[in-house]
Amino acid sequence: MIGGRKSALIIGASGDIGFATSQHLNEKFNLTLQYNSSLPGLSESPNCILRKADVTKAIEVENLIEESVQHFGAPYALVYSAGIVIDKPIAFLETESWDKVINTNLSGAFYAIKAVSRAMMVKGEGRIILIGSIAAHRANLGQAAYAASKSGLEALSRSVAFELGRYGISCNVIAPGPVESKMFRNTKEKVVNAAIKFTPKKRLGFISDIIPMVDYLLDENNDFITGQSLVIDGGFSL
Amino acid sequence: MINGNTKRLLTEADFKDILEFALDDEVLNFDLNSNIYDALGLDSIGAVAMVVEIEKKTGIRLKIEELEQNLTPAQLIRLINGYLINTVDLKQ
Repeated sequence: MIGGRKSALIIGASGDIGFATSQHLNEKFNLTLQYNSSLPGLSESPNCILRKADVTKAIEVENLIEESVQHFGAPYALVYSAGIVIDKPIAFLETESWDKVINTNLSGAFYAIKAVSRAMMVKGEGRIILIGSIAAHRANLGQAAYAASKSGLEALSRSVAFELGRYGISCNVIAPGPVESKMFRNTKEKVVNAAIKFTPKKRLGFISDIIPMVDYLLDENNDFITGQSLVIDGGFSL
Repeated sequence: MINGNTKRLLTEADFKDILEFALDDEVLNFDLNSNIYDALGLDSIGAVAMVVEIEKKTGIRLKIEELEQNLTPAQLIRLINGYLINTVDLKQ
């Protein structure tokens, strides 16, 4: 802990959810942010490390986390929000596309958890949040790879929670429904309208719907929720 | 903590505590020369718990592979105390 702040790692900080989470936690934590495009408004400081790294390469994730541990000590929090979507019918989904989605959305999370776990175990506390999706619970046409990767995150989360619980570590998934975000922006209007129609709250989710759950799971007083998938979808999955 | 303000070498009793944490169970048949896997019942999850608990209590960061090469409590205590003698200012 430096300057009375705990340390948080955010992997996938240039995505909409990761970026908003980074901005939100910037005042409260020493941050280490992994990104792959840009982080407007966030800059390197004594309390913030910014690193471009490829989450599909275990060594790059390990190096990033090693640097963070050396600089800030054992992280209190790991938020994994790196994710891509490649929508294609299964018959036309190239194996390279499948691999890319699984490697980014799921394998990268495993690399990060593996690299961070020993420091958290020795410290005797830790909060791991994986950003999943409602796609893990409800099928969408053309989303086989994405859904499989997000379902994998939930299974991974349960295993991590089960194995590391005795060390004071919690691991949970936040599973948003359709959210107004960069990832969803390219979706056809017809699909967006259908998502709104089937959502009891009659709107898309906003990033601001997600952040309070991040706060809740990072709150030191909430120590007993682990291995869960917390759906935030305005009722879309009901 | 074994180390920290009162730095000292790891004892047989300390190691038994660590082993019990790793096994999440009481060890009734503790013997310094027993194999930690075959005779004392450690598995791979327990081995991880053991290296974490050793690091917590002594600050010594063992690799899992070192447990494969030092299979008895006596060998492990010797290994850890060897590291402690070389890395910290000991007060016995």
